[in-house]
Amino acid sequence: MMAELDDLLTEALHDLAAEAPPLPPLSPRSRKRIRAGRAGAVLVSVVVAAGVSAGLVIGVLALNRAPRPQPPKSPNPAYWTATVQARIRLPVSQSTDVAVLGSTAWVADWYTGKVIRVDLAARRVTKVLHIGRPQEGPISIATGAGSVWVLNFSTGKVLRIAPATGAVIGRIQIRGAATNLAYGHGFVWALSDGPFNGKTEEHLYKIDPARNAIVRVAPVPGAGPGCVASPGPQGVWIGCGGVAGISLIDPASLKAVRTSPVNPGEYSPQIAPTQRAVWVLTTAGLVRVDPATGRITATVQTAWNPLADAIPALTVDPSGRVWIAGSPLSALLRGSLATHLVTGAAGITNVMVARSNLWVDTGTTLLALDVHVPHRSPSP
Amino acid sequence: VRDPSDGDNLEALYLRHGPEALRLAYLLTGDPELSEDLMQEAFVRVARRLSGLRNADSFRWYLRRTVVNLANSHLRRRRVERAELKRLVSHAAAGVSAPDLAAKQAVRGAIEQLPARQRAVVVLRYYEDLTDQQIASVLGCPVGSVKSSLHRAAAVLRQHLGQEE
Repeated sequence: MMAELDDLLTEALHDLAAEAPPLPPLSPRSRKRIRAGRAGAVLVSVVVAAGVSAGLVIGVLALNRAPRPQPPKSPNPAYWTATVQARIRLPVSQSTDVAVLGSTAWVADWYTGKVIRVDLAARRVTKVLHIGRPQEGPISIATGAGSVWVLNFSTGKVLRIAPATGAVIGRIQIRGAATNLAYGHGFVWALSDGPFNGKTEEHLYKIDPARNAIVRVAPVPGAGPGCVASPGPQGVWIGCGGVAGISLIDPASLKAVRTSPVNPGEYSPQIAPTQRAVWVLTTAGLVRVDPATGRITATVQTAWNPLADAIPALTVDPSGRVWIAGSPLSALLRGSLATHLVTGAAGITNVMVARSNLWVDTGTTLLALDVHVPHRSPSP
Repeated sequence: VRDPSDGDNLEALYLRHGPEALRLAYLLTGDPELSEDLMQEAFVRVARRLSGLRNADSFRWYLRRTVVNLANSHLRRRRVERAELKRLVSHAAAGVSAPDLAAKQAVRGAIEQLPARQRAVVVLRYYEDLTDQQIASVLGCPVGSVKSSLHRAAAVLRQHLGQEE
């Protein structure tokens, strides 16, 4: 009888769906509303693009159709040259997120629902895990407390994976639409776009690896699915795409203790906190924030072009160099406010440091890079 | 992730995801005009946020979730009149000629009598073909709530359709 009801429901709903009205054109009002929420960021982007193309620091605009940047004939400190030392093809459609644990990289592929373990020393893929169905599964990945943590978008569960075996050894349910995961201060941090206790706003979940359990949840400033949590020395920095301002959250109380007026623009913010500076990649450039006051202390032009179809990423290596991915790779030396375009590797969507080696992700391949820094560049 | 405020991208997104969202809104509300309004509102809300997503393809999931949330809150606000629903059921029953058509229309009438949340669960399960976990993700509720809503909805539907477990 139940099967009969199932069939009746399926058939009736499909019949009813066929009677749905035809798709009307997107109304002018809707277009206007979409643009109104985004016009500011686009305007800034245009201004930045114009400035960069005028030959500021980089001098190369990374438009999709633009020719691949070539190293200049004479040594130019604005350009660094990368040599590919190793190339590891990934069995993915398009990597979504990458996290490093020791000498292994863990790659999430939301498009196919896979998580890949890569042995960076042996330079080969050593495990493929299936987490959820295609375009429903792993949307964010982090490492910490000796484990790999994967956020499964469709179930809203944080999965704890034993790195040696690939076995799922813990499952923690997050409410609402969780889209971002990070590790820091001894805890796993997940951001979710409500609802929680009847409120549909951003919530930060603090997960204790010792108990595999959520130990605190609190609403945090921000809105929308493009929010990220970036733990750093001062606490957990939170920022949201399309929302001006980032906030520093106290890891114990989960209360906002500081805000900074930096506007990440429309992309998921890329925030790299260090002891002396918090770097934020925005559509207006790479912004340096004083972590003690939240004040913006510098804005640097970069090669990342928000108008191009380029996914940005930001990493600070142990020597203090700031690496900026997003089609071309560029970098900033510690103590310098000049960015340098790295030639020899294009289509870069992520950058990471593993055992002092620089690795970049093209979406389907991990590349180990040896970057030559000309002598005229200031030393770190 | 492309900027959806770019005209071509926006149009392509709308054409790609709009029909599915519109059908879902129609199934949840049963009202052609209202479903168009809800779909456009949901599209605006999600499109404004799109480039905040590292995965542009998750657009579909957010759109689906937004349509369901908007439909639910609208129905809650409007307190869809039982009398109107009863009229729909009797209308469905009166208009039948062939037995299978009668059964389908009775099912449709019974679905329309379900409370908003149960109807959403039924539509997401039997039309969108989502798993319990996926429905929980769309509705932002625990999987257990989905299972209990489905169970309650099935009981109500069986009662209306004169079926027994």
